[in-house]
Amino acid sequence: MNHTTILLAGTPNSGKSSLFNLLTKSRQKVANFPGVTVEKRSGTYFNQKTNTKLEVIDLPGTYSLDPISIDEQICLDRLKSPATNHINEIIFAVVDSTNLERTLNLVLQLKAIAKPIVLVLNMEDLVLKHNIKIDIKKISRYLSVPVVTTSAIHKEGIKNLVTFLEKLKDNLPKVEDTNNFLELNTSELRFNFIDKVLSECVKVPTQKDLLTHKIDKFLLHPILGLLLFILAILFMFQAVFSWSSYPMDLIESTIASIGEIVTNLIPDGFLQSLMVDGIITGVGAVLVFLPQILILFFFIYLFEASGYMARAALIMDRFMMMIGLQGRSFVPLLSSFACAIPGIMATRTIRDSKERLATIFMSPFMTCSARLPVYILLIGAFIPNTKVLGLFNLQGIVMFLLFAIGVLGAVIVAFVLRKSTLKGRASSFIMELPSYKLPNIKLLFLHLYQRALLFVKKAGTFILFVSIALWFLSTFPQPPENWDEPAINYSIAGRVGHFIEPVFRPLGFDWRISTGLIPGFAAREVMVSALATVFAVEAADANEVVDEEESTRIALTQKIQNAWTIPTGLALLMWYVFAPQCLATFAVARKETHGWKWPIIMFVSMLIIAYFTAFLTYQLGTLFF
Amino acid sequence: MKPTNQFPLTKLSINQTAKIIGYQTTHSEEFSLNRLKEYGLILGETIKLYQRSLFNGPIVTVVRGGLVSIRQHEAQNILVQVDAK
Repeated sequence: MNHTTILLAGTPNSGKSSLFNLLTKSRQKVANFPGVTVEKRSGTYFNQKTNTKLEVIDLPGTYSLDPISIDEQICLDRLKSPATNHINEIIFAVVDSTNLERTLNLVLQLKAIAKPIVLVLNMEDLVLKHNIKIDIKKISRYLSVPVVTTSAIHKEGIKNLVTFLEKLKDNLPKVEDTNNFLELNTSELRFNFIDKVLSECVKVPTQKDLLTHKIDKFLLHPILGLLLFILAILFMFQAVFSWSSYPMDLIESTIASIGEIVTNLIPDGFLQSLMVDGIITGVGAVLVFLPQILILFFFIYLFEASGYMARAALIMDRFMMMIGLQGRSFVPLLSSFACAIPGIMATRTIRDSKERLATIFMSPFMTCSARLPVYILLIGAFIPNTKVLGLFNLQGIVMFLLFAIGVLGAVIVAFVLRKSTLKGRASSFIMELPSYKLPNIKLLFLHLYQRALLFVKKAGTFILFVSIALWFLSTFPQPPENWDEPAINYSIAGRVGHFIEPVFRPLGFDWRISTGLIPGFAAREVMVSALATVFAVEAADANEVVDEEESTRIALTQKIQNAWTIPTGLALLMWYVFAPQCLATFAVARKETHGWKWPIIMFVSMLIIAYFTAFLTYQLGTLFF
Repeated sequence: MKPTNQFPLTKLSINQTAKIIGYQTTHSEEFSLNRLKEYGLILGETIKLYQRSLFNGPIVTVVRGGLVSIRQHEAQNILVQVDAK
């Protein structure tokens, strides 16, 4: 039987990705990242009743088939690659039908590709609302393509498209009339052709999007717009911390009670220790941060879906220009506050390769969600929970400073790079601002669900594995009978920690931190589970602890408070701002820069900056505390 | 001498409408004319200034029913003409 593959192509903001989500629901292969469709995503449309099964591929949004940026190149390559045998490939050109005079430009270019094409007029709801009259039959005739109308913001709106897909197998569109469109090979010719078509097929009332204009009076106002932008970003970070406290407490107490139940169920011994000290403590320490990560992704999605993200990039452009970058770098950097990996992938929209490299370089400096567990733990232990000037919480101020130091470091690094190795001229910044839209709640939750799933999967696989491995390493080999130090010192982890301790001693790090840093290089948040495991195993084995239950109840915060000094805590915080502790980031950087050169330069320079700043913090700290 | 109703796009005042009559490449360091045209800024097209930003940041224009932002140094290279009254 022949397979059919649908290639969704369209400009950014055409609603293409929403359409993809509605058609494929959870049957998707690649997780989507906020900001942009950076990689082509594939999924399956499946209807149980009719047994219709179609592969759907969502390509990155593009304005033209004359590619400048990498995501446009990906799109073009996929569109032009010949279909393999027995596969029917059909291009679905998705356009914002409230703005055909712009969006048909891409459709005309797609027509020149020798593949069957279907025009999807999206945002039908807005067409009706704005009282735009479109003669679909005429458009279909002029462009010689089948036309389907949809509105990707609700399920009802894709009824037409679903009906069309169901009929597709008996009624495959053919490649029609390519030659006439090959002649339209400049923007002028295409736009002139579009004007001619639209003058006969579309009636647009004179004033169509007053709402966007009204909102922009505030949000794009030179001064007010900037203030509102700063407020929005501050509100976002504020929400990440304050909204998450209740769900985090809930997760924490749930994990604690699971630990207690398991402790009671399993008799004392290795199995109990593995379950409680290894798995539950390790995985639990990371799972706690799910709420914060989701809140951050919630805001990024909201900015993107509402149309504000492009405005934020516009507002940031002037400031990014000072360090030799442009507004488009802002979106990847904002995503990097959640995770540098989607951030680095989102740099594909930046057209200038040197600007792109500089942005990739900056991404891991942004305080990602994996650093939060470490920050919160250390701040909780070393920074008093007092008010400053009767208004600001000192812990909050320190958290803000850590974010700011990361951003400052990134700005300095980018500035230096753009003045030296990555020297380049001011590039162009041409961007379309979408009109404002109400985000679709259902798609928002689908998106958050996908993010949560990804995070829990990571906690359930990678972090679970590291936790178990670390428990083994810190438990075995068992010390001999006459061993009078804590048992962990005899274990492999303890020995490795002690072995590398001298390297980190100038930073005030003890062997426990040194032990935790090793798995921490794989992923930052593992440090917390590592410390939790190391301290738990140590406490469980220590002879001086009389009441064993008492020891497990002492929170990690208290344990590290007793074990380390304030300068050590501050130095470790500083280390975490800059240290290159995430393998996945460098793996992605290698993939995106096509080689090891840049990831290695990034890794080494971050390591040097981290060591130096932590050293300085510790040495200065010892003078004061 | 240039007629007084012809000037670079950057000189338009907000909500003022003009027609694109030419491009010059002297000011710019990297002038991607093709890209501008892909976004609809073709010769003869009507263009309106929508918004400016602080410190000579990018300007926002209305072209072919959409909002397009352009950096100052690029906008300087787009010559427009307003209808003489």
